Amino acid sequence: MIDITSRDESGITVVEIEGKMNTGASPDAEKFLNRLLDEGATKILLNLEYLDFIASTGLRVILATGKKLAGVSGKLVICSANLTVMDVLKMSGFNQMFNVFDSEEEALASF
Amino acid sequence: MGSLRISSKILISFVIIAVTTLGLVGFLSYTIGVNTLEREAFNKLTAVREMKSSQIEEYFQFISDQILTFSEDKMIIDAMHAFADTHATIFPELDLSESTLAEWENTLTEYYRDEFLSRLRPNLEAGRNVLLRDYYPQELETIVLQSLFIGNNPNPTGSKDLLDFPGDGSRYSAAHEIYHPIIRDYLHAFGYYDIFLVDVNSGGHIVYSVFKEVDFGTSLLDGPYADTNFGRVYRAALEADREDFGMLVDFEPYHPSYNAPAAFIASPIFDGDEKIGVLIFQMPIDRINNIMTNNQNWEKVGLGQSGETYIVAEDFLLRNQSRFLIEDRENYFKTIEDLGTPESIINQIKNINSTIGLQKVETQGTTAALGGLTGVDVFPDYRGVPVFSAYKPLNIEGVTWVMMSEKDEAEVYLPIRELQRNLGLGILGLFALIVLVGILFSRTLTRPIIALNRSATDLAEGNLDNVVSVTTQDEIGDLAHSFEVMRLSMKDLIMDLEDINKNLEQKVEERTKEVEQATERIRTIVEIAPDAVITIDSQQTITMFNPKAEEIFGYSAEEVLGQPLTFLMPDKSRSLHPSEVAKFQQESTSARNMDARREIMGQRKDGTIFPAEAGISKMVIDDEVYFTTFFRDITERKELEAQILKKTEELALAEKKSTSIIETAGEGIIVVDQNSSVILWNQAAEKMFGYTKEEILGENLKNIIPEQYLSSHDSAMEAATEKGHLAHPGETHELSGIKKDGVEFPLELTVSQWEIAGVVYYSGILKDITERKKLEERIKKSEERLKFALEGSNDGLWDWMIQADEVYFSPRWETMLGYEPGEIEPKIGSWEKMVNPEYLPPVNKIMEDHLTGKTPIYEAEYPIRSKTGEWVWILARGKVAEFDVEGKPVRFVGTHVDITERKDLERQLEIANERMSDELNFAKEIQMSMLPLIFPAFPTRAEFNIYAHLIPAREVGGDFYDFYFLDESHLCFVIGDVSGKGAPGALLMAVSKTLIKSRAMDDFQPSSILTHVNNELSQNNDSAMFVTVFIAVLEINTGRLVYCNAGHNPPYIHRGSGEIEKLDDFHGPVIGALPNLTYKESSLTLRPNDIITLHTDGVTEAMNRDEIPYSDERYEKFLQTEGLNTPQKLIDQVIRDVKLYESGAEQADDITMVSLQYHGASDVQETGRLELKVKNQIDELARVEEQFEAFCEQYQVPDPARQKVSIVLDELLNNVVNYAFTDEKEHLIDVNFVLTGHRLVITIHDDGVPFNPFELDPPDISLSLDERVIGGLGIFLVRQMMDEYLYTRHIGKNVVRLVKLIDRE
Repeated sequence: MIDITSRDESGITVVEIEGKMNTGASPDAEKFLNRLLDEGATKILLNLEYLDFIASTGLRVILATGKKLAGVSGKLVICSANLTVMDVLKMSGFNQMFNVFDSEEEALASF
Repeated sequence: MGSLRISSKILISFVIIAVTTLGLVGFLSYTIGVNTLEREAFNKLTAVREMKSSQIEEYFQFISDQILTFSEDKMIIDAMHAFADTHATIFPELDLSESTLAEWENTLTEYYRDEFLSRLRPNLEAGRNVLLRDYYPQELETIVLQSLFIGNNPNPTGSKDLLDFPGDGSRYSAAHEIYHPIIRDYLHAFGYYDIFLVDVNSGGHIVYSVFKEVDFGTSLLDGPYADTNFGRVYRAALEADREDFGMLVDFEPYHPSYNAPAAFIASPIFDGDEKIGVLIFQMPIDRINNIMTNNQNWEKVGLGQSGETYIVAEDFLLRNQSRFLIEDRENYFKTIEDLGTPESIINQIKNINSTIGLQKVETQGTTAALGGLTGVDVFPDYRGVPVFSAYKPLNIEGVTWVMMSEKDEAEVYLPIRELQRNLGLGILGLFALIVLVGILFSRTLTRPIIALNRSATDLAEGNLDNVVSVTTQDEIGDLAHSFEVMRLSMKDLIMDLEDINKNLEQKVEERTKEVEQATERIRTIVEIAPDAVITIDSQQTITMFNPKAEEIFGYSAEEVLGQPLTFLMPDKSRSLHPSEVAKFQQESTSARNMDARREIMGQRKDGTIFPAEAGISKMVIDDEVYFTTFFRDITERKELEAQILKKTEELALAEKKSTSIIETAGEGIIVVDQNSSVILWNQAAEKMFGYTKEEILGENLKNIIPEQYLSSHDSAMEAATEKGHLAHPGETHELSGIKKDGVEFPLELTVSQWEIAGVVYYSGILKDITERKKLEERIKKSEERLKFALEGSNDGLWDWMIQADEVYFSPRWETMLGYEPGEIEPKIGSWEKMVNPEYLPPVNKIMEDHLTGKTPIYEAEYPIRSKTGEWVWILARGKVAEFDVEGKPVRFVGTHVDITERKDLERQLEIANERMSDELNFAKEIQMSMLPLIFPAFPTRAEFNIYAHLIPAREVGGDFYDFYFLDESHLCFVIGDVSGKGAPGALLMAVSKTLIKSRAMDDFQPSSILTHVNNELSQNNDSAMFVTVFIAVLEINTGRLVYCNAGHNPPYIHRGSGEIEKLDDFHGPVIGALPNLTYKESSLTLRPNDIITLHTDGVTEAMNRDEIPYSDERYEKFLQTEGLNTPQKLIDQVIRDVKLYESGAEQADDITMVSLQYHGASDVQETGRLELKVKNQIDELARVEEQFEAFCEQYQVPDPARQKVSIVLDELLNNVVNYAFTDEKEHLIDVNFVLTGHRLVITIHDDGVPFNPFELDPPDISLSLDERVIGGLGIFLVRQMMDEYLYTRHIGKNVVRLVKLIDRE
């Protein structure tokens, strides 16, 4: 249902989520992100290029991760969301809470 | 006084008060009565006086007017000329011979002597001598005239006027023949006594008179009557120089009229300026008399038994008849004789039977009136009798008369005497009553004091156990209470002291008490025992003998007490009995039971010996042994038994007819054998059970035994058979039997056993006790009712002793009005003061009606002021409980019920009714606001066109219509008419419309919708209103129409082909009336262009000015001629025609129409459908997502739409699975997808707890990361991403309907 990978781009952890962040998948995503946080990641870029859609459970995962990073002076940035995901981010006001970029390059540059 | 008892003091006070009050009341009543009567008497007399005065004055005025008119009459002038010219020459004209003249004179002289003088003489005062020469005429022409018209006149005296023409040849007679009949007619017409014409030129001769009395022809200047009032009035007229002169002279006795009083009125006759004569009327006295005596009907003008009106002239003589002469002749003469009236006058009055001009009336009143005064007074009248009088001078020219109107004082005061008597009786009665009340009151007052005094005496004597039982609420009550407290304290103190030797005394006390109680109990039982109860001591001496024993043995208790028991037994038993008792004394048992009852013989006082049944019990009291024997006289039973035995023997030996004693016994007698087979059945048993002998003999007895007794009967029979004898022979049982007609009834049964020739029989004596049972039941019920009435009533009670004006107000009566019990003075006045003064008169009227027996019960509702000043509404009911011997109510008893609450409600209802018109408008608003009013209603739908119109009536008619999509392809449309009007109707309309819609949304079947809605409405429809409904569901794509008509007007279909169809099938009655009905439905298919048109009865029942309805026929015909049109145009045309038809008559009901035209299926067909059933497990969501994704792929739903729907599904299903179910069970959630063209409709049904997700507040998305609270975001997203969303709760399910429009570009 969901496939999450991460890679390091000069200190920035780029997380790629593929699939659907819905009720079934969000706990997996949360575990994955929490593990990254535990490992000390402070700069996380969520690349949502291959995310089909995101439901509120997914938003909660992003919100939780963002809060935790804020607590360690870290940063969460989002990029490459499709139209639907972008709509959801806008509707939910997430685009105001997080920096959202169209491309990974722009996002990486923002850190 | 100080030494008097309180009761005496109170009584004396009452008497003093009574005497003072009643004396004053009596005096005042009397004074007021007298004054009133006097005033009234004077008023009446004055009224009569005025009436009579005006009558008399008018009469004289009339005569005066008449003589003036007559004197100017041409005929009179001519007559005057003719008579004046001819009378003097009559003698020469006739040229009579000496002998004829002598003969005439002789005749005339005879007339004077025999007719005139003989009539006149008795009427003159006694002793007066009358001589012929004083009257007989001297002049020759007078003698001739009198001879012609009097002496030779063949008509009798008094009728001389009948002669018109004497037959001589004189000119006078010729003139007389002409004028006499005319003047005579005139006289008769107006009722004068006589009419005279008097010549003025030849010495005042009376040249004409109608009646020809002896004054005819004489001169009024020097003739015999010149000195009368006649002469005076003539001379006055002679002097007069004007035509309108008229003069009246008062009545004086006039000899030519035989000394009857005569009055004259005279007027000169002028011919031009020349006075040619005088016209004189002699006045009739009868006229005046009739006026004054009211034709002798004094009572009619209110003069009663002694009143009269009369005229007195200045000579103080009466001018009309005295009433007393006419009505009370003897007394009248006696009275005036006593008053010293001269005998001559009395005789004159007697002779002419008239008081006119004779009775002197010189009274205080006449003197005053003649002095010109008008007034009223009381004084003795001419009879010396005190009279009430009203007097006044009359205003008649020429006479000085006064009018008197009088009535005897005695008659005036007659009612006063009655009043005096009634007042005296009343006062005496009241006095007696007050004394009685005084006695009662003093007793009421002193009773508690006496009781208290007694208690105090008890206390002083050291008796502390008597409760001070004075319970009055006054000071005495307080004192009593203090006493009671004191008594209790003293008792406590003494009890403390007594505690010391309590142990010792208590035992003694308890023991004594027990013995006393036991004795008392026994005594009571024994007194009322149905058996003779005799107690003997161990010496077998009788120590007690109860009333029943007295009855049975015929001895009184005194006679037998102290006697040995054997005293009551026949000799032969005597020796045996004591030993029996002695034996029993040794036995350990304390009593022998019923089985032990022995049959013994008793002996009555009269020596007769009777069989008795005796039982004995032993009792030890204080080591003393007592025996109590119970005797029952069983003579009757024995006799019956003997009869039965005899009968049974007979039966057993030879089956003979039953003896009459058994047959005629009052009790039912039945004999059965050991198999319960009936072998004897007497008449009473026949009557009791309804079975005849033929029917029952040989049958089993069980036929008449009710089920509940069968087993005991069987066991008793079994036991008896086994043991060979009955367990309890002779015992009486109360049980029941069954009649032939199946009715069960109570009876009393005594069973005995017989053995005859080795065969055992059982007999039963039965008594029907139905009546007794009923009576007992009735007594019990009435007791209960009474008890209920006494305890359960919350009513106030009042009890009014009317004549004593003593009212008992019950405590509840007073507390109902906020008073303490006893606070209100127990008088009816207290109540009157409290009742709202506006209501008092009508309530008093209602009470009066009841008290006078016009109504059987008194019942009134009125407000009464409570102690706090508020109005308490009371329903008062009452009835006279006691009447006195005269049938007057004495005691009036009733209740008060507080109905304030009800009255408040009634008032509220009134206010509510007043607001009704406002509510009508409000209701109309509700009605209109419920209707879809925007057209075109579905602009995007090309498959059909719908239009509707409702014209509300002035008062809401309760019509409604509705239409809506049930889903993408089903349109539901409804028309209805609620039976009720006004706000309730509007409410029901709203409810019906809503219920139909909510049900329809979930249930596409019209029949099922109405079945369901009907149940809903019927269950809560208290107002018995109902709704007619036509509902139809159109499948848009096929034109298939399913419809259900519940009592509504049949719709019509215009087919595209031109014909019209009426949908006149009905599928059930109106909805809302009866629950649990099942409605049916029909279906048809609409083809393109078909129009279905619905209407309410407002259309077909619209009235014109002649109140003739528009009618179904006219409507159908109109639709036919109208043909196909658009729905809107069709409706507009119909309504225009209806309005035209009404032509201004007021619209009575709502006019409603709905019309739908079907255009045919749309090009856009349903493209896809996916129906999923999802378990309430979170991992099921992935399956939904998968299947939906596949569905989207199949139907090319673009990604953004798919993704959004997926998000929404995730959010909603997540909610449902996690929160909707409170149990652990598996539930199925329906998730359906229907794709039609660009519309994707998603419905989710779950049977979880009711929850509307869209009611949640949206999250505040403007908050920063730190402030955001997690939650509510999902639903927010749903709302944002769906084009339509709707939550409904239907049939126990949450239904969420979502629409996503798909942009395929």
